[in-house]
Amino acid sequence: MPDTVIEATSLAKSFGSAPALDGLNLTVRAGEVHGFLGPNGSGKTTTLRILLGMLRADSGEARLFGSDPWAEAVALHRRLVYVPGEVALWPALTGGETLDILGRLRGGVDGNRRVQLIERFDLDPTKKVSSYSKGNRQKVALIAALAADVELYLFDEPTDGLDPLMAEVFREETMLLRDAGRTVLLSSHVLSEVDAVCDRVSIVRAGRTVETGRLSDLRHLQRLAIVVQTAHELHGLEDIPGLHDIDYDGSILRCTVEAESLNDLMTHLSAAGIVSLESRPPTLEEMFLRYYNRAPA
Amino acid sequence: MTLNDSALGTDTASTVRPRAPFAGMSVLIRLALRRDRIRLPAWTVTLAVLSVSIASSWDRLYPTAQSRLDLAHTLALDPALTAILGPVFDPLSTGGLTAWRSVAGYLLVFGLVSSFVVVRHTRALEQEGQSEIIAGGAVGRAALLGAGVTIGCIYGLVFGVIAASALTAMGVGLSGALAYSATIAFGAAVYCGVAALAAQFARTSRGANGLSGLVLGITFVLSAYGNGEPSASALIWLSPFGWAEQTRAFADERWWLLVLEIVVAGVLIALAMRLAQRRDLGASLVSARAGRDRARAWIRGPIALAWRLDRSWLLGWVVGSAALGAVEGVLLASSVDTVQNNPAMVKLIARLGGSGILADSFLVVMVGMFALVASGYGISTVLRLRSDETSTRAEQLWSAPITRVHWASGHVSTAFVGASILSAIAGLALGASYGVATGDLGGMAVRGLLAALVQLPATWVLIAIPSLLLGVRPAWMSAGWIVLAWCVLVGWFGAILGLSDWASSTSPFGHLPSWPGQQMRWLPEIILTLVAMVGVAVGAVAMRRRDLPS
Repeated sequence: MPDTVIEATSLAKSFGSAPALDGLNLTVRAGEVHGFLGPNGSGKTTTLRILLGMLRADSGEARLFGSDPWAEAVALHRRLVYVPGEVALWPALTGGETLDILGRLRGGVDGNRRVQLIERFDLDPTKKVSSYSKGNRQKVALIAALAADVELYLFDEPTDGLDPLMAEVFREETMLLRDAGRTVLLSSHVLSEVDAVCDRVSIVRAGRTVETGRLSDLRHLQRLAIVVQTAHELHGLEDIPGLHDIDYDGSILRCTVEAESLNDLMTHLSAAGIVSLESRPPTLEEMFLRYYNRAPA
Repeated sequence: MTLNDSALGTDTASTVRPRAPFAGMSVLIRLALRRDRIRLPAWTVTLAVLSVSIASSWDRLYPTAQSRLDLAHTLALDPALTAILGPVFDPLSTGGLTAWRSVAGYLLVFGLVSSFVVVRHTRALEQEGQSEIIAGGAVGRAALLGAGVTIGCIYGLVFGVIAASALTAMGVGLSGALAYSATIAFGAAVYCGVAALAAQFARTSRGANGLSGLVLGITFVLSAYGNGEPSASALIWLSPFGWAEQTRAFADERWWLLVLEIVVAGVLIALAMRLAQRRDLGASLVSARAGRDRARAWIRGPIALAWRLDRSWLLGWVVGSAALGAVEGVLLASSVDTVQNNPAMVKLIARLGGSGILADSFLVVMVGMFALVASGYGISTVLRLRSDETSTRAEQLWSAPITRVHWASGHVSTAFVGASILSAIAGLALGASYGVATGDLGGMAVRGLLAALVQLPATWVLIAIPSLLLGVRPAWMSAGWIVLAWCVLVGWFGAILGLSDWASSTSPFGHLPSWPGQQMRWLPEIILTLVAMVGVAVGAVAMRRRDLPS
């Protein structure tokens, strides 16, 4: 197995005059759970469709297992499964029939795995799809995908429509895939989910990758939230570069600080005598909001 | 997030008091008009223009009173044609002939169109989930159905207003024009009521369309049988087709039949409203039974899947066409009988139809009709691929190790094979029932079957059109319906509208040999088959090159 499962370089794709992708890069290594984060309309689904050979990129290059996803679609699809963001099924079939048919189209169903997943996701397979809720349709597609024994799993906003309990089951199953050495690309805007299961993330905005790396590395680049009480009054806070969101009442200081300015701040604080100090890394939500609020490049 | 959504929905809905079941309906009607801004004028204006064209053709076709009396005399002896079109009440007036020629056909078209429109704006929304957004607003429980029925009835009414004004302007007579237009519009309203009920019983829009189509077919056959078979003439009173014909537009109108139509439509709609207000949103009165928990072993690929999905739909069409074929066969037998006992008619037919046997030429007309029906089935089936692509059904299959052409071959093959089976069985039923009536079951059954097979290449060309567009330009696939409508127009009304031979040559059906009855010609059969094959092949090649439509 090659080290890199997905390699997309400078992908561009427009629909009419509206650009959907504008220089998107994505690298997914074998055996990792990769989070693909971005707001609605940022190009996540378009990227997945290009990787699946359903769309052709206007420019740039996409490689899946080292091959061209458009030309080698059938051979590549034997090695992967995909769950689309909005799952539409055939209303006349039951959930169980759908599971079997989707499984057989991919080359077979593991009976034990099927039974086990139906139980874990608490699905009634004898009901017609037309009577399923959105969450239940989602479950059918997820069970069909998780029951498949393949190298790569592509999920487009998979827990959208699932209740928190079922979303947790999905997270656990994803962990198991990682433990088994499978590769997962998880497109999402549910940050806690990505936070919980992903090794690395790529953040995409307006069709362009704005950041990629380990979550811990990304956080390292980010500001730290600080709440501190000092013995003496602080002066000259404005002179410290990289200090933001300052809220100081003469005793307690709340602020955020960029990583490279942390040392300056601490020197300044200790001179005033630190009484108590509380600091925490930014949540993914805070990181996320920061990227999205940034003006387009 | 999900919890909030549903909680909000229930909350808002419960603030609407049950006393206001129609709250929000006017907004929904405007929404429906916006969605149908092209369909509505397209159907109504086209058909109104067509009825004016029919009305203006009589002076050219039958200029003298004598020629019109001759026509009426001939018609009186032809139970098969009378069955389908109804009796002619006043052959001397332009209006009377127009009403005779078009009332049944128009009710058939508007009955289908309006009931599909009702389903499109009711059950289809519940199936796809938009109704939840709607019901979550300050909208009454009956408002969605009310808006759907209203828009369905508007189709007939708009047609009625245009046709009545145009015909009056032509000078055919105000009261006749009013009765003619109103009886079609109100008859269509009855089928809106049928569709409104069907939408309460069926769970899917396809099921609701099938159910209302079935009722339309049964009522049509009832009136056809009643019209064609004097001993069963009471049957026409069970059918809106009978009511519309018996309104006798332009021939001493019976206005009270319009009241009957309105009352029946009103009762059906009121019943549907009651049911709609009692049931849950998205639920149906036919409760969902538990189904299989495993798929049958034979469903292994996209083709098998397409057969699994299409089989009940196909079965419905086959049963319907076979029943219609059997009824037509009986009527054909009595029709041939009448004509052969009338020396003047035999002479007339010999002069018109050449050497062919009378029964054969009727056979050709009827299998031609079934071929159009089969084409409709085929087109609707190929179009399922389009709705798979616009939802994510296609994506899930495309992401499996299957080529696109393999995926598309599923519904394309059920369309071609299914339409061929449909045509063949209808022809067989027609021939067999004619054979039973004339004492030659085996021979006539085979003849009916063969006559139906002769029509197949033209049906294949029609099904090849959306198959080609699937690859080349999927957004235009519905153009298959326009081509079918054109073929119906040219085939059924071409002669009366004075369309040129060129026009009839644009329909693949215009090239078919009139076998049996006339010489069998193989060349057009082969060419049409090749055209269909090339169309499908080009579609397949283009399919491999294009993106998933977004």
